[in-house]
Amino acid sequence: MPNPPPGLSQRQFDNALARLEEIIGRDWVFRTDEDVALYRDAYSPLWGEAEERYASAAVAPVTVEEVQDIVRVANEFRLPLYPISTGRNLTYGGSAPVHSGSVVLDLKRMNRILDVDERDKTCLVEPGVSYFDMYRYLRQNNIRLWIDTADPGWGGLIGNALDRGGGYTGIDYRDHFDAHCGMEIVLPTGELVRTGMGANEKATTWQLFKYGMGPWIDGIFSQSNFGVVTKMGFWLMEEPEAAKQVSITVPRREDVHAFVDILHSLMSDHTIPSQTSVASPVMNGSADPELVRLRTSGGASDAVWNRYADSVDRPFWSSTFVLYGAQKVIDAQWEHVRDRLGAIPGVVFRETASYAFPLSDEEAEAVPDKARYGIPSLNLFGSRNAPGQQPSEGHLDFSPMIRPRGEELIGLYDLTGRIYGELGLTPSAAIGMMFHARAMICFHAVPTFRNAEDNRRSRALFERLVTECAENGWNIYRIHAHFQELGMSIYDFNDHALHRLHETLKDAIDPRGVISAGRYDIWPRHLREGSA
Amino acid sequence: MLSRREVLRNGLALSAMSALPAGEAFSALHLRLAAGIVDANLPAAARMAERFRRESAALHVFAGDPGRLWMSVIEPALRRRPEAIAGFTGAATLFCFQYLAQGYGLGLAARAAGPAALDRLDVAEPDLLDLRDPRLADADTVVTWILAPKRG
Repeated sequence: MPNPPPGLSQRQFDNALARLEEIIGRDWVFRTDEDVALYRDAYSPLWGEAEERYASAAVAPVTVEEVQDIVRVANEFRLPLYPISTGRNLTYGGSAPVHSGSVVLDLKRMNRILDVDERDKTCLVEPGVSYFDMYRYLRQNNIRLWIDTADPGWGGLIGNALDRGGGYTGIDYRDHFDAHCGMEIVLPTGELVRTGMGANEKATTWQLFKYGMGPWIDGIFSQSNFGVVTKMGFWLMEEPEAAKQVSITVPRREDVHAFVDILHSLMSDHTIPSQTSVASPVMNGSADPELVRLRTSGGASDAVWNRYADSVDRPFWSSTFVLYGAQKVIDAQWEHVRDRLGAIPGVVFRETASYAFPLSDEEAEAVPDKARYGIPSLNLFGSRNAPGQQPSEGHLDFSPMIRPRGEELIGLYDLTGRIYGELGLTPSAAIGMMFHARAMICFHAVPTFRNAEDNRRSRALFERLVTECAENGWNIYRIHAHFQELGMSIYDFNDHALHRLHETLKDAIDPRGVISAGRYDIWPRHLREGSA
Repeated sequence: MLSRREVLRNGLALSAMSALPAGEAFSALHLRLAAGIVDANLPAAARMAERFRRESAALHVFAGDPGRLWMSVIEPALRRRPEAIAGFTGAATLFCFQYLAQGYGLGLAARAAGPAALDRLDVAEPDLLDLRDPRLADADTVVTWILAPKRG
């Protein structure tokens, strides 16, 4: 039997759980070791160590009213709750609470698709609705709308949006939080609120117009702990007539400056609608000793790198993206892309796939790059380990955000390569991805293991990556639960004034501190350092 | 509709399994297999498909991405009635199905590296995500496995 949450006696804990059983029934209050183990962080960088975070129990309501009642009981007992939607974002901590001993508020049973409006191109869902669920619903009902799925697609629309996850399709959809329109939230007091136009009970535009009247407060419910989101609306992409996926390469290391500038320009003028990635087939190649030496050197010259690129016979940079729309529009977009990038000597254009929609089930299954077409998959797990690499049990996402400029991409490759090398590790492959309209995130994978020694090294690596990239102005925008204090610490303007504002909000909205204590380093007053 | 708790409590065969020491043959459990799943890309897939055809109620073959199979066949079936499933896949696919199926009360009951007869599988330790075995942590590893309702 797991221990009670910190600050509660066994008797208080038992009484609180008994009250929760009265609300949702015994079947949905989980407190055996086996049940609670389901909420363990499968990729924990602290696996098996004393500091690993555990749930003390879990509860799984099915209605909004049950959530309200649970929150009220939590206030009464000062029972820490940790809401999850599907809890499957393993690289950011999965379903394990930040504040060890919290009771997981598992919302997976709240899995109703409440509305899909094909004319308005919107949906309204509960937190347990996964990308798989929504995709299946659209296909089964022959609705010609696309979701923008996270990759892998086993997560949920609401959880991924609230953690500010990203996808691959059009700019209006792939920033998942930006693509939401309207929320319903159970506040830490148990009160129910709706945001935007949903604050008016008769409004017909809850999923169409974000702001309503007064301050737009939806943002404070992302990456935070100010309430339990029980409904969210999303904009869905109209299925295009066609799509063309392309790959473009440029040969020399110094080409990256013009390459990224032009791609950014083509995204800004909406010629390129999709997520656009920039990676180096040379620097991300198989780890031969010379490549490792160059990657870990912290800054070999263009000439040295170009000689190496010649020796492995690879172009230095590549980009992949998709053009969506009417076929004749795509043809014009593609011609314009080639005109603009054709200025770079040695550029090579490839059309890697073309589709006309709708796809049959078999055609959809045959799409290799499914997420770029709103098709959820588990493809990503087929590449958990590169051939010959030491198997790891998981990884942490490390994705600093940079300006979309070649010099910053090179600078980041050089810095992270040097840090890996100084710790005796082979550098991760890195991919610059333009999920967002104006910035590029640079994805790296830091491996996690099931043994403490390897995990200690991974944690040291992760901490150095975060802090040293931040010193160069390359902040991360999202971070695994264990490192959230570190992550917030780099947002340090005016002696961390933003963090103090978060705490002020926490004290006002959740005075008993019952929701997701510690999430993104927002702690309730009674749990802050130095508090009694 | 069955509740998850009922699923956990209805693990009839699992009561027997919990009494078995690790390594004991899985055939002692006499589980009804609702489905056999085979990754057609693997060597020995045809042989394992034939074996699963005989030993399970339904055979499902996929190639590469197991997501569509999960989404359109396995998950809807588990929602109706969580029952044991067997597979011959890469370890990464086992990882995904193990993680997804735990939401329906299923856990890793037995496994063996490579193609194996179901009555030769080792009963797994009752671990959540048993990737500590390095063979199973390697995404390239091929594994035969059974996921079954866990005892409550």
